Amino acid sequence: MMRPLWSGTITFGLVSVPVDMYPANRSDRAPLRMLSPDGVPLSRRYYSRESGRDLDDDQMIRGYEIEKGKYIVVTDDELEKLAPRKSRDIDLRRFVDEQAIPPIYFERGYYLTPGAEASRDQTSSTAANEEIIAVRVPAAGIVQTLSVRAGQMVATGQPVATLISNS
Amino acid sequence: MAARAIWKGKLKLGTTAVPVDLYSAVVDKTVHFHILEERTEARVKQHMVNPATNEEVPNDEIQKGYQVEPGTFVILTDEELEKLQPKPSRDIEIMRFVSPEHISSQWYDRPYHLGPDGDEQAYFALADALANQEKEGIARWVMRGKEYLGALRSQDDYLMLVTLRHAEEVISAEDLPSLGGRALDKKEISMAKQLVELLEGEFDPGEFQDEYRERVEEFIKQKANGKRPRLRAVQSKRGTSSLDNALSRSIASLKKQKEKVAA
Repeated sequence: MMRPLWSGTITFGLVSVPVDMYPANRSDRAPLRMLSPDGVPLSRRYYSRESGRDLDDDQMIRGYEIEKGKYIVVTDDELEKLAPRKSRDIDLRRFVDEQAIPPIYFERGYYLTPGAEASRDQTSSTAANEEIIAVRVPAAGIVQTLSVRAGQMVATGQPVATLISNS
Repeated sequence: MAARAIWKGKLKLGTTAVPVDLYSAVVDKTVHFHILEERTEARVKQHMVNPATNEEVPNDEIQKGYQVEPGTFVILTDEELEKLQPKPSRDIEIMRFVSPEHISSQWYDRPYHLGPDGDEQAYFALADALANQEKEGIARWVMRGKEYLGALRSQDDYLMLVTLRHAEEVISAEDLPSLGGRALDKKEISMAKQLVELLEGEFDPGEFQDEYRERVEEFIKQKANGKRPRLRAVQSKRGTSSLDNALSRSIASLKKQKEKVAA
């Protein structure tokens, strides 16, 4: 049984519809593993350029290179604060014709199913900053969606949402 | 701006060949970070170790294997892996043409622009034919040691090739939990339609920016200047209790907005 990867609310006008999000794509490639000469799966380790010693997670930080060899350190806490976390809203901005969005904007597809309101508060947010720009509501009552994150979502026939890239 | 072709190939339709240049149609704009050692703020290096002994295994001693069941691997040598690679070719074989609505967006993967490479006439004739007949070609080709399946389409007078996902990568709606809930009544459906019409508009991609990326970039810039920007939290909404009620209130408020704009 598939489990939703995210739960949230589609809002358009004054309507809010709780939805569960499921992936519409999966990876089909089993990765090749690296093994030792006697067949033990290897682990990747980071080590110090200076001392040559392996480093633990708490000995490493994240840096953005602003010029060669010069880094601005950005902490997990800062990135978390910059992220649009905890928002469970898919904000539906507008409805457009399906053909109006060339496939170059499509990124990843997701299914949206009617969500269980009760489970909403226990589900953590992994896909927070989507804005839907289009939804079609066919006779069956299944919401078909088209969104943007600078990306967005689309649905066709089934309750599919597709992330669209803006790059 | 002169983009650089990443690959050259020939579109093959029966006995006709149209030479093309392939260009990436999307750019990765993700903000990338490096992992640094906290003490020295210098970039770290990485190596592969045997987790049981913590000893480094040098590159030339590393074997590659597929896991067939937990703990059991089939070892593949570099020669074997090379033999498994598809035969290199410059041919982009067009197998058939289909109506675009037959390819749901779920199948599209990576888009590439195609440019003419020596035979502009054949190139634009093909682009024109695809646009006029509203068809997409299903194409197969080998690029950089990988087999691809793709949709050849016309976009703004040019040709575009969008790689398609494999069937194993596409999850069917049948795998989803079955839909429950009550059936919608006529009034709700007609109000939903009305609301959709009121929110109808154009798709303008320029409107939608990746605000998260912009915030991260701005934050880095400010931090580089020794500053610290303020950060705010976002609120969530509750589900609508009455669909009927929310639909009619939305329609009323949107109509009012439109009247204001018109006045």
